[in-house]
Amino acid sequence: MSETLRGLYLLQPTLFIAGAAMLLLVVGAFSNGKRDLRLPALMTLLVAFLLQILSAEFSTPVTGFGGLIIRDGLSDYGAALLLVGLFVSLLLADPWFRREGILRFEWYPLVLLSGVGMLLLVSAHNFMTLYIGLELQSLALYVLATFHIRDLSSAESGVKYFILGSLASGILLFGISLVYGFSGTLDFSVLAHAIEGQEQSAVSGLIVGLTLVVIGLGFKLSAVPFHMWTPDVYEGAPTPVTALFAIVPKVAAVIILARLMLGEGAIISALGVDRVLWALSFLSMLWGALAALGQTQIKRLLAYSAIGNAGYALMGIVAGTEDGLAAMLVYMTIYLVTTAGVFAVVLSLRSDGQAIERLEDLKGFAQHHPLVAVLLGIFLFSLAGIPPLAGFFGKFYVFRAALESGEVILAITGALTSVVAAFYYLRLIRLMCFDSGSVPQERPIPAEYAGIMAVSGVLVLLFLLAPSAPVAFAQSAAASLFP
Amino acid sequence: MLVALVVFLPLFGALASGTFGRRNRSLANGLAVVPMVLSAFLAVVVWLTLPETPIRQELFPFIQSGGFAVSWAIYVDRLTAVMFCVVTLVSAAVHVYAVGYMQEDASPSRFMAYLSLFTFFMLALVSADNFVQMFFGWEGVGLASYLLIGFWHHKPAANAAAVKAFVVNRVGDLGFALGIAGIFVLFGSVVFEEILPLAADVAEVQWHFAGLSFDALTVTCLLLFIGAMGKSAQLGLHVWLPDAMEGPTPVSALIHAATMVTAGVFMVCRLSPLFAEAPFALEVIAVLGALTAFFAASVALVQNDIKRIIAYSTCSQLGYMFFAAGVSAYGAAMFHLATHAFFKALLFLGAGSVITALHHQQDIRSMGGLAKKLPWSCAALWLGSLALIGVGVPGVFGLAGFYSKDAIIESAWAAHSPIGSFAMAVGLVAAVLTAFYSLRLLLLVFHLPQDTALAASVRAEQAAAQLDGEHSAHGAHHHEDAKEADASGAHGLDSHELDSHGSDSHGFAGVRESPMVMLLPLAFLALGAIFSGVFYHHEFVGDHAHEFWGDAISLAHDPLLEAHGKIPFWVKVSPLVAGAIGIALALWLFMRNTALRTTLATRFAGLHRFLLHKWFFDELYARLFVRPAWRVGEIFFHGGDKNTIDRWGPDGVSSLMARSGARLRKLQTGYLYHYALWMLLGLVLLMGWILFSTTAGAN
Repeated sequence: MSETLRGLYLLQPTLFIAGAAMLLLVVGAFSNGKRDLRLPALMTLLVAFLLQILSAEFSTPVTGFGGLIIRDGLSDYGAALLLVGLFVSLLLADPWFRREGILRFEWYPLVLLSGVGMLLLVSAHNFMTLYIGLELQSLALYVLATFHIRDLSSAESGVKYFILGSLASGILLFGISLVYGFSGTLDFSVLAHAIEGQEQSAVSGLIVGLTLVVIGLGFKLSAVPFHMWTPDVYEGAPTPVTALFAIVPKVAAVIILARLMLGEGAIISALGVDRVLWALSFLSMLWGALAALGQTQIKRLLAYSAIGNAGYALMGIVAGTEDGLAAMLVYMTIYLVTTAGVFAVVLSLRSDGQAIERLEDLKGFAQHHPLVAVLLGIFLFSLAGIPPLAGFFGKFYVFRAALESGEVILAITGALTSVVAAFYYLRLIRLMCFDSGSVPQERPIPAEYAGIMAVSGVLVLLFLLAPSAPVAFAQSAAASLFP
Repeated sequence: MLVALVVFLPLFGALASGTFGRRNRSLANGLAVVPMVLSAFLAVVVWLTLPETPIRQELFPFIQSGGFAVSWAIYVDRLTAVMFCVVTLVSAAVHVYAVGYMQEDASPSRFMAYLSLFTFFMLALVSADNFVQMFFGWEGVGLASYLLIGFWHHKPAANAAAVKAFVVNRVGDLGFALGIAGIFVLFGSVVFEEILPLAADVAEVQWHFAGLSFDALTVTCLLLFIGAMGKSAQLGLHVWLPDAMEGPTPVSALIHAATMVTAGVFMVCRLSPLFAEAPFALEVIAVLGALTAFFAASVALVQNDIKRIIAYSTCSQLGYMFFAAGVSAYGAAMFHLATHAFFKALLFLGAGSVITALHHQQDIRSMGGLAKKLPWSCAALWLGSLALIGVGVPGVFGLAGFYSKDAIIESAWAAHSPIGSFAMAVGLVAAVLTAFYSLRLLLLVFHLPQDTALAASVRAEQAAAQLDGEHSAHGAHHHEDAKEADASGAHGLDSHELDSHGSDSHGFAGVRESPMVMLLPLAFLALGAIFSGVFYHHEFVGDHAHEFWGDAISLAHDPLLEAHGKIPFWVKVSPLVAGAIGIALALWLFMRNTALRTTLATRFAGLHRFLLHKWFFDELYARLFVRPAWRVGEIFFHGGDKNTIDRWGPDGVSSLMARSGARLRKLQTGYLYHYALWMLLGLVLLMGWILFSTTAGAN
């Protein structure tokens, strides 16, 4: 098989989505937006998921296109997670957009294209692929943030995201060019070999370049101090888009960071740049917990929750071990499931034809919707890391990995900040259950939301019955970086 | 299977009644009463079919840790079978009685569930085959007792009494827990069957502590006895029992007379082979038991609350049981335990019947001449009292107490030791007092005409106390209490007007005898009070004792059996004579020479006060323990907890978090250029740090 053909074979799910996205764009444009593209879009993701699973290469990593891309356990795990996340995001978005009356057909191709970017990112084996994947994802997401064009705050959030994202892209690109300048290559494996036996002066240049790359990726992950866009964008963007932001892109960003840090040659940890990740993790956990304390908006609160969770995920990478990587993957998986559940609840909150976005309006929620309140309570307890829910195990695995590799300060910080974080999650529960309020809640809850809530709730509740299955998947994925 | 049913049916009743009976009163009653009656029936079957060798049914393992292994098991020998019968029969009677007694209460399902739960714990206690399970039942009955004393939790006095009972029992339980630890250290096991045969082997073991050496078994037995003292309200740890009368009367009858308080006696008897090897511990038990018998009887002489009199009487009778055990007459102790359960429950339930008839009036000074109004209650109280005094004709027939108390006094005499003689002397004096206070109660309540002036002043006193209670009540309770006080005030006024018309019977114009559902249990218990002594004295303490008990209790040093019936006549009749003296004194003072009563009370005002204040035990404890503990607690609460831990710990940290959170939020200005600046600042700082740290490491 020629190199090109192999590359095409390896990349088939991504390419399938790309093709489908263009097709949907054309269909949408020609039908003047009348045709409902939801089912085709969902089917696309489903097929891509099957293609990804069927062509999965868990045993040995395979590169394609002359080393531009790689398929290994990690990329397959990441891709599967991303596709599930995109699928859930599409399901979550539809009823909300329809109720608000702002659904337009571009939504589907844009989501799919951002998905193409993320899939490229998780299988990048070259800084060029990395950059293209990241930009493809980001461009689609910038547009999505402004999706509600008549809404000022949505437009504002899109612009903020775009400008700061451009700055981050500039930083990333500058870093890549420095790496190329000092090593003469963009390929990860070649770079890994080049780093050994470099002159001291050249090493400094590589360090600067790689630090800039990490910072650029840290922006996408909304790691502190490159997180400032997150609360504003989360708040301003239409809620389904916020859900998409919260659920999906982080997965791609942490996986490419993990590959850079722990993959072949351990590019960034060999040069000591992993300390940047340490700092990002430390600051994110701290900031995410503290700044969330006085928030009054549900979406801003979730933004800080996302920032804090990025810190916990990074801790698994910083641990630098196979267990740490596996713990990070489990953590992200649980986070995805829990966040999907939370957003299903948040999106279903409506009163007097308006979406509810203030925490205040949750008062007395438990009386109107006892079952939904119980589910939200379960999700929040899980996010707070209360046993026996899934979130506890996610945190536990990460902390354990960090402790085993000697990252005591990070582990302690993580434990302490999760105590602080528990406060604001529990405050939400208090608002729901113990404060009385008179905001009537609309019924019925759309079936999509009910279904996602139920599935998430069951997964979060029952994780403890069979924790070994997801952990085993994550471990086999993590093993691909540790041959 | 059978024995397991006896134990678990009450638990089932408790759960069922508590869960399904919340809406429906009859369902709540039925779900508790039926399993309880069934359990009692099965207990009798167990009693009648008890095999020679003990039944041991293992349910499942409990703790396995190194050499320490404990299972949940049901162990039934003769001793357990006695307790099974006593507990389930009295409990069944009380359950039925409670249906009537709690007729107007708001939460019958809670009451019935607690009552059944208590019975389950008590049965678990007596059927334990090891110390840990016994401790489980021990704590369980403590819990049930706490819940039931404080059942009317809107009454501050009931809450205080419940807490007092719990705390005082903690003192005893600490001793018990330490005793169990001592047992484990000595024997390496906590299973009765493994320990008891080895008692003689460890009799010589010494423990060294602080340069002194102690006899290990004696120390252990004394610690265990402290546990027994707490539960069985022996002198020193008795202070909770009279206050426990704040609970509903069925509770007093079941828990604080017939069953739970006898757990200590049961424990000593269960461990009799151990105590037999620790003579000093036995002497302590005998002396303390005798003193308790005397102390409680003396206090009962002057109390005015009908339930408290009977409570002190219980305390006194428990003293008898302990000094019987202390002179190695375990059979006599168990015999008195069983007979006492019947007649004391009868007394309590009879008193409860009087109390309900008088709308929860408990002060005997405001009663009088009720014999015609409440004939059945009167009969029950008379029968119970006579059984308690121990009336009978030697060699022909006697009420329950006649046989059991005689056996105790005879055992004390037959012990032929200074301690035995002391116990006998004290026991006889206490018997005189017992007869006296019993008669005083009966006469004042049923036969003497009501002293209207005194009754009025008592009511005024009570109203004032209630007002005090109202003032000390807070918040939501405020209104309720005020309403209650209003109601009782009005009631008091009504009866006062009626009283002023002259004839004493007018004061109780509306008084009716209790319903059948309350009288039937009285009749049943009366049968026990009449016949339990005459039927079983041969088995418990007589010729058939050896076959009857088998190895269940230690009969090796039983003084009564050793005496082989060679007890002088004067010893045999001495309790009867003591009772007769007491009765005669009471009749003389209350029927004939009433003026002398007042003279005596004023002449010996100091003594009267001393007795009325229960030998000042509560005051002494308040000064010695409660207030100092309170003060230390205040110091730690304000100085330690609030100003140190809270201030620098939770409160300090949380306010620090809130402040830093607020500060961080201020950084989130919303301006794009601020955000970009932050990103670049972060970049520069991180870059500087990395470059510094990596190059510093390289050089």
